[in-house]
Amino acid sequence: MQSGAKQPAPPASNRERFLEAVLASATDYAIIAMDVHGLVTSWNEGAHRILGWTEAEVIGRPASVFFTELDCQDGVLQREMRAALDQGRGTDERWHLQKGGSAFWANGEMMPLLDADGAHFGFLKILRDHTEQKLAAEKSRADAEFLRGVLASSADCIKILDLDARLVFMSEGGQQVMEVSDFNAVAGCPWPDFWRQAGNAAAKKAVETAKAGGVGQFQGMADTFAGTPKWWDVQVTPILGADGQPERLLAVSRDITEAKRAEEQARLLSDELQHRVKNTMAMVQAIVRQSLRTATTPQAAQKAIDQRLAAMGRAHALLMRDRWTTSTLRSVVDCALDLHDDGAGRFRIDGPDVRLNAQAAMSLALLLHELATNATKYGALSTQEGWVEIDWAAECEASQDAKALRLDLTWRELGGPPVIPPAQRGFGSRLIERGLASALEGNAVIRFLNEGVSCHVTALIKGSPD
Amino acid sequence: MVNSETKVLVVEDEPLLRMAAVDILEDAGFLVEEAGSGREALRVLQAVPGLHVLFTDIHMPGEPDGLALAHQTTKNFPATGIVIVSGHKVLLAHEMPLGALFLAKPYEAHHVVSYVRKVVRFV
Repeated sequence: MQSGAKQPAPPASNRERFLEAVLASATDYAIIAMDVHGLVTSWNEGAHRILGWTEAEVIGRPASVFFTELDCQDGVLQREMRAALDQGRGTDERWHLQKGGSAFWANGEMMPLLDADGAHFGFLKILRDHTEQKLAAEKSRADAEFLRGVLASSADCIKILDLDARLVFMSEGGQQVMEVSDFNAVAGCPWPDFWRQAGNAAAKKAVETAKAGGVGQFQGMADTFAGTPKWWDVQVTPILGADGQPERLLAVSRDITEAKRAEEQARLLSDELQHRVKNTMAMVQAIVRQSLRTATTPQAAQKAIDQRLAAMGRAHALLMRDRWTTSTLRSVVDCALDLHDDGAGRFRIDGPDVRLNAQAAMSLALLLHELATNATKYGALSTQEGWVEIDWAAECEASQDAKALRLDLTWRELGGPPVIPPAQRGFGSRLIERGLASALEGNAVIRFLNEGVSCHVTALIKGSPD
Repeated sequence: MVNSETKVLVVEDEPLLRMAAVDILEDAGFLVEEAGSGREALRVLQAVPGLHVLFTDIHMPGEPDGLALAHQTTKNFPATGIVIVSGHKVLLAHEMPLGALFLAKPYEAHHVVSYVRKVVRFV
């Protein structure tokens, strides 16, 4: 170690030799002495190793040689010296330059040097190369920021629980989906208590499973903190400590409300489809049985069955167009009479086009089919001159079951052969008067007048849309 | 237990199916009343004394549905036997009134008759 220009070298004592040995062996530390102007007066082996310059290269030069240009312009060295004088030490934690121009992160301090009388004669700067730690810390910070970003962007609710299942942490994304406005308000709350009914027991069980080192899973309902009910798919796993034992729990909840709704909708549709198929089969069975019962010959039975099933099929198709919800009365009339219309204008139809619910549409389609079939076989449509007038009036009616439609429909056959009243009621008449009329919550009266058959239907159709 | 005086009430909102059930039972010799809804069935139960069997669909619009009607009938007319039919769901014994039978749609005519005969209690 060389002495500074202003301080003559004292005779080497045991103590000085001891200090020189300490300085020489402290190779992890750059220990630099400066005079009061910041010129280097001493430079140990650690300084050589860390900064690159030998002592001979820097003695007498300003210590700012290893400061960056920006720090030099900014007077950083001078501020450190001032802080050392004013406060006893100045801290140094910044990027510095090595001899070759490479940057390294230094962590150190500067202290004033005082002689035995307390007179200031220089400064001592001690610094360490903390580049690795600095880079590791920056990486750690970047990793943490990345993780925070991942957690924030995840739509899942990611939580950390302590081993008592109390809420310790909730991700930003989790706070959004759980509608948490202030996490502090819920921190420390028992997490299983958030779950409803069976979900509460399932949450407790999942916690116990995770505490035992396993993976707890369940699906359950829990309200968000704003009170919105939601379905969640949950997984609880242990976070292991250094000893390999669970020290905290990770609970990840995924909002599956929409999926559950879709699942429920699919189940309802499946049930409804099953119901309709079975009902349709039962109706087919009833049509066949009734047609066979009243037909005089197998051929007549076959024809009646064919026509009735076709009428039912057309009504089905009509309703399917509107997803089995509603249909217009005019389209039901057209659909039911289509097979009997020879294009000669034999049906004179007049009435407002109102919408009917599915059951009313199906009932009216079958009713009109039976009337048209009878007219074709025996009535106005059995001759070239006959025709049928179908007209109706409809008005909304207040009902205890909300919206209802009062329908008044008349079927009138004209221009056909004289009518001979049947000796007994056939299937069509029975279906109309006993069955369909009550299905339409009204009544149907068929009259076999000499000039033609007429049918007057009054019905209260509930749940009819506008 | 069954004779020509045995009276059955058929409750079915679907007219074709109601007609079919009525015809099957009439052909088998029963006296048959019919209703197109639970509400209408309650009126018939009050108006026609001594109905021996209620033969009802479950799934009907309005109140009561067929199951509620069956329970009310058992409570108010304990001598009336019950047959419950449905194409929508299968009922288990504990869901139905005591002694009631369940028949799935679509059904065969001989099942309709045999089920009704089984639940007739007093004629």
